[in-house]
Amino acid sequence: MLTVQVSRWSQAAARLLLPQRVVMGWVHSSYARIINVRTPDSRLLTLQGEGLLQAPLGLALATDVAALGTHLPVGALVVQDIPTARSYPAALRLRCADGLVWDGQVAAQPGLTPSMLADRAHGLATWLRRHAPTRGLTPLLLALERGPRGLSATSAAAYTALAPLWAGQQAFAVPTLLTLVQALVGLGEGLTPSGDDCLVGLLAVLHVTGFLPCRAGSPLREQFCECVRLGTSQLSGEFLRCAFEGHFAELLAMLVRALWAPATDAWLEYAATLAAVGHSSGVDAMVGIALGGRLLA
Amino acid sequence: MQTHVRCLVLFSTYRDSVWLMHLSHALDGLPGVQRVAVMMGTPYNKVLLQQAGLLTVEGEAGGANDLLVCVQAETPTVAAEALHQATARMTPQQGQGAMARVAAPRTLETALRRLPDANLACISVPGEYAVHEARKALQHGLHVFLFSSHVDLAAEVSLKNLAAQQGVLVMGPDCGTAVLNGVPLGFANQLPRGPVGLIAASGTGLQQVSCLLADQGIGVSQAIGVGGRDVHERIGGHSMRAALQALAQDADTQVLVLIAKPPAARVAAQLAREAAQTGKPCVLAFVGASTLSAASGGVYPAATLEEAALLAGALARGMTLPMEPVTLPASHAAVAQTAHMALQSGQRLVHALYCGGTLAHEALGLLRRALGTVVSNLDDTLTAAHETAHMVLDLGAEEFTQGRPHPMIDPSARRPYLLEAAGNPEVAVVLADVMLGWGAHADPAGVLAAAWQEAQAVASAAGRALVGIAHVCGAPDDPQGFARQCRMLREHGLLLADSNAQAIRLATAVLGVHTQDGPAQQPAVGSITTGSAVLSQEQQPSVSLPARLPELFMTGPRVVNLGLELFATQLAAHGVPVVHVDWRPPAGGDTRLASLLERLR
Repeated sequence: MLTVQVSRWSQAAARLLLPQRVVMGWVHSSYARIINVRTPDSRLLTLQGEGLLQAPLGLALATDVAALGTHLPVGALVVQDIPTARSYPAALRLRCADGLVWDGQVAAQPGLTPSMLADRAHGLATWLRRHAPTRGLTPLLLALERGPRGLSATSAAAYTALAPLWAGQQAFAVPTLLTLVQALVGLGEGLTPSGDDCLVGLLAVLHVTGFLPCRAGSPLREQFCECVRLGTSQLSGEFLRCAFEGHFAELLAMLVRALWAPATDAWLEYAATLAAVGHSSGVDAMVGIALGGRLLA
Repeated sequence: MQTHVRCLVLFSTYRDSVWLMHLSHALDGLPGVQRVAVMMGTPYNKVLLQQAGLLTVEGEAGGANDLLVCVQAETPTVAAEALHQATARMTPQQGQGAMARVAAPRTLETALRRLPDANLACISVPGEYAVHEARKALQHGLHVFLFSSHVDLAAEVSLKNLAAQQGVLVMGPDCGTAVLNGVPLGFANQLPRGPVGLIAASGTGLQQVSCLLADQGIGVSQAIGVGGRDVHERIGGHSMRAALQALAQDADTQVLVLIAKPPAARVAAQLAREAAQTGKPCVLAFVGASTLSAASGGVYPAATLEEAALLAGALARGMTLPMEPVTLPASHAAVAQTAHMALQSGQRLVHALYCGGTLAHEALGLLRRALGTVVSNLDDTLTAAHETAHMVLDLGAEEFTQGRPHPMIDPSARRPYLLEAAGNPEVAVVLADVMLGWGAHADPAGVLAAAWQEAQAVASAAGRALVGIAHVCGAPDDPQGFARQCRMLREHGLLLADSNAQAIRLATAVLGVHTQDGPAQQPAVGSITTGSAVLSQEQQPSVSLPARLPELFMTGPRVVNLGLELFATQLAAHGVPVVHVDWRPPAGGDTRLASLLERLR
């Protein structure tokens, strides 16, 4: 049995876990330098090593998580290291009390005008076409401008869903969001499918513009969650549910905050770092941001 | 050009995207491979694969949490080889634990070299080999948790005698559950530690009582399963009595509970006598026993598992014992009345579809008290006329599980019977149990909810209302998420009962028959009467305290696992030292040859 200090964790994860709650969950999956823990409420916490939080429900541990993962089989019990947990036969105890809490909430940006939104969305799309022209869903950006030639099956499917919206003149509304979710959820390659990553980016824009959470009333939330539940994996679904609530991985939140901050190019650095995440997850999320900016503007 | 497509589904498999890309490229580079797709099996991705001609029937089986590896190749051999390579690449990471990285031992003896201080063997190999393995374990001084069934009575007697000589305990055969020092073995719930010690010749009976205790905020010190046949006349309650002696001396155990389907009369008498001699309060829950004596000498008989939990809870807290029979709460009574009003005049039957054997047994007894004739596979009263009678089915019984997993592992076994009940114009109420805990299905409420939706559609199409009542047997910290499982059932319109007994009260109330629990007035299941037996002075042969059992309670289990790897994974998940044996039948499965070889040693 191991006891490990949580050095930093997201506010969303901290909110899920009451200080007196013993059982944090059970190991759901483990790969590379990530251990996912399923809570009794079926949420997925992501344990990782030190550094930027890679998931909205992320906990950075002061240990080598890759080595830790080799000692924890799927199903291993994870508890908080608190006195009442003493009798629990856990494989891992996490000391959370002294961990720094990071606020990963993306909030509405005051004073954001449609032209600013369109301008930075265009800037990000241009950056993607230059620096990651063939990766993930980037070819979709060009196809929406010039027509669907030579697209992969995944991009072609996304194009079919997005082209009518792209050409349309109507304002972005709740049905538009649900149409996009139905069209993209669970689509494509990767542990988190490309369509899901793209939706995460899109949801970030909806929060920046204030479209969410003011429209995140119960029926919309229920429909969104149902689409996600039926359409993609538990792991990817967790990212989407968090994104709907306004919580994101740290790098994505930093990019979105910087992208529409006045008179700064800090976003370029974040974009370059995010593009290196996963096979195409970072790129696909940025495609979602670029598309969202354009559709919302 | 010929093409051959093969798909591999890697269930519940997660790898980071870069790893998936590398796998895809590696397979794509193999000679003769034409196309490769490596994707999570989401509905959308399966459509894409279908359109690309890369999805086979095997691939269709994958879901959103499963990884699909689809290969199109020039020949079937090339396609098969590519998938073989994909599997091989998964293996180093898939095992994850230290267990998987070292080649597993093939025998108990080699496992003991790797874990020399092991104190327990968990055996779930086929019954015909289980006795042999259990005997070896006992000879090495290990306690035995014998999950395997199909062990004959003579062999069971012989194993228990050997255990007595070795100072160890045999839990089983056919032992489904135990919780030792907080570590769940077999199908067991995630229970808090506490002052109540349970000994049970009934797996789901133990689960029900321990979960109801957990619901009261009371934990267990040890929960020891002994297998259903331990209370048979010939076995004489050997393991139960041995465990009783151990818990009597265990400082952490303040209250005892013995649970069994009705034991043989002499065994019941002996157990009651020895329970009284422990000096600790002891609740006797002999489910379906027809006559129960009054409490005396610190022994408290309980009519139901629910009552056993209430008595044990009160004793553990030093509170006044509940004297009045349990009745249906007013809120449930109101719900039952509303449901009753919605029934048509011909709807008069209860069909109870159980995964848990002891819960089914308890339901049968309680329903017969309330409703009269009830047919069941439990006592061979099930006939072709069951459509016009009240019915209790134990879907975990042998006749339902041949060639398929136990319904606690695969609860979809209930669906056809549920739909049959929905199509029966005389059925008013369907009763179901939902078993949570380690080893059980990951989402049993989800499976029941889906089948219930279908059943409601069938009944609704015929213009009838069908009432569904479920009891979730689980603890708050079970891996399935107790609260979530309950919520799902409620959201799908099932009425939830807090206990199995309450589910029966609710069911009979919906039919307009009001009951309360108490000592049974007439033989309910079988014809055993424990009341007179408790007074009997006829002695069973004495059983002494297994000398090595207190050490097991003190230090917890260190396990050699033979059979289902699931149990080893579960133990490792709790931080228990465990070595899994890559067990194969000796002499290639030839039992006669194996026996000869054994004699040569």
